[in-house]
Amino acid sequence: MTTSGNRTELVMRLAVPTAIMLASLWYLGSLWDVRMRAQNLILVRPVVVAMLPFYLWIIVWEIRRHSALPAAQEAGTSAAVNVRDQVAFMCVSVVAVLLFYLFGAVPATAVLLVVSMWILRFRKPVVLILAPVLTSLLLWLIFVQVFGIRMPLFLTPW
Amino acid sequence: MIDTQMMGQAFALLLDWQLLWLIPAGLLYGVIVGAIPGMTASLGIALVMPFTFHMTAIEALVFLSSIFTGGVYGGSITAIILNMPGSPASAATGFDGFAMARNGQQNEAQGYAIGASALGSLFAAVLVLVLLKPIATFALMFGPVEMLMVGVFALTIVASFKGETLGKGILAGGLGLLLGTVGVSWGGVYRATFGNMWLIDGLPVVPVILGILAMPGLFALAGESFVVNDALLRRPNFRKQLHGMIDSARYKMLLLRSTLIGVVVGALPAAGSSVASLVSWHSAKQSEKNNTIGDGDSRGVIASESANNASEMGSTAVMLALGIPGGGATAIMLGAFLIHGLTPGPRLLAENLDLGYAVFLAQFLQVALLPIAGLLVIAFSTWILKVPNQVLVPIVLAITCWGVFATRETFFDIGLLIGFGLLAYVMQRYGYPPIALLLGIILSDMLEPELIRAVATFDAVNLPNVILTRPIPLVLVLLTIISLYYSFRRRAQVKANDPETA
Repeated sequence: MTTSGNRTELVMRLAVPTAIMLASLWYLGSLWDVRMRAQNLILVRPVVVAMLPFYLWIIVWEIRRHSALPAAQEAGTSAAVNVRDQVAFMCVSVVAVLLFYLFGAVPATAVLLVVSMWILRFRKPVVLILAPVLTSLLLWLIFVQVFGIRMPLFLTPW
Repeated sequence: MIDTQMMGQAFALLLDWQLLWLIPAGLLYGVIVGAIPGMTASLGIALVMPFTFHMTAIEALVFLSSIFTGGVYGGSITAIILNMPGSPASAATGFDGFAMARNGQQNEAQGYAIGASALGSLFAAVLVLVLLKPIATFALMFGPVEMLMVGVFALTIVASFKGETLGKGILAGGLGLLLGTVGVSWGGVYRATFGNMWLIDGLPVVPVILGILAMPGLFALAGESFVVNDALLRRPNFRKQLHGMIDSARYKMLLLRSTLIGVVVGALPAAGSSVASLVSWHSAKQSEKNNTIGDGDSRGVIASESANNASEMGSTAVMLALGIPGGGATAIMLGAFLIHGLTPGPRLLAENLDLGYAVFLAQFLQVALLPIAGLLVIAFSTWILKVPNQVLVPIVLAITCWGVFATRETFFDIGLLIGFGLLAYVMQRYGYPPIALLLGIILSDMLEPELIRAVATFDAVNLPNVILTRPIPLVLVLLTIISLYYSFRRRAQVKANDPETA
């Protein structure tokens, strides 16, 4: 791994605990002036206070770990795993939320399956058509017909 | 302790031919519902509740308890195959079950889960039948201080989770505790709801659990070809499943201890089967000799599965004896009692003890039939591993989205599922155990109200004194110290052997 890659890794390793700590402090601050403060802070305050020393410990640990490790050993993603596919699928998952909201469950399921299978480099046309259709139908049968759950099936009036 | 006359009447109640099909049908339905990510046993019970209106009281109760038994077990099937617990109670099963599946031992893991579930239910049913009244009395001894200490003890599990350092586990657990307090507080204050009505009741358990436990695994699987890479090991193997099922009986002490933990934790209101299985898994990790629990050890599956099924018995016992539901499923079953003109509580035990006994006696039939129902569903589910991840992963994501939507019928939960999935993925990537985050969220729900009650009752200044002078909290304090000692010792041993993984 290059030196800049190392630096990015360290920045990320420091950013994650910092983000957690900042979010926790913001949460504590947001409850500072509310009514019945004692009850609202009864768990929040000791937890945030207890997290602080561990946050500092992690920061020191990460910096020491970074300087102790040779560049080649810096934690990276395993080469055996296809990172491109992972990231692409994560993006599709995020888009899936919007699809469900905009188009309703059945069309969104079909679109989600076709798009994600394609992104994950699946190219068998019969399966690409059959899998989304059958899965959407089966889910509709189980959830809507058998369990009687009200699913927004097609276009949602938004 | 057993009223023999009432027991005889309970046997007579069970001589109802309708039960011959209601028990297997309930079990099979429960296993299927439990295995669908997002669909819990409580939701499964709620959905069929209207069908029980025309049944007799015993038929309805035995049918619903069969669904409960099947549902609690069913969650383990997808937890093992895909690390996607069908229900929160099976979260701990996935720790070892999925690791076993990845090593090509999914058939054995499924067998161990069935065996442990059946034996856990069996031991718990015997225990509850004999000690129905004492268990209820014991549950009444748990006030806010005792429950608070149960929560504190359960928090020590964080020290058992694998992370780069203990500090990262604690930071993740702390974040979980804070996230668990989101929603309207006791004082009517809206905490971090951002004006969203779906957050008023706090973070919903199902999307959060699936997001934290299942989604990072799903993202990781997207970059691989198959869940199990060796084609030979992907095949369903009935003989191996049977072997796992029978072999689970070999771990008698582990089963007994996990059952006891399950019954006791299940009997405590607000603790629930997910806490029971986590505590049991943690206890097994600390006490079993030469274990690799957490890395694909069958004992981890046995500890978790026997405890979550036993907890079902514990919560049913308290519901019957005191009328206090321990969780969602028992709350719905309480409703079934009321619909049939019965009020669970001390009066039920005085006037309809035979019915109470019958519910637990039916458990023996359920235990006998659970392996059949389980093996039927597993026979289908293990074929899933033959599907390439390029097809399997998107389908699982779609099923999970539908299941999560079904719980509260809102798209917001699908957003939570993906959001928590991404958060857990990032945490895992940088060495923070996401399960510690989940544990914090689960325990926060119990810790905060109990802490408020304890302080209101005894005052904050007197609380330490109260904890150290009452027998149950004192025992729990000692257990907490012992648990922490063993966790630190274990970490030190691991660090000594491999400084990188400590």
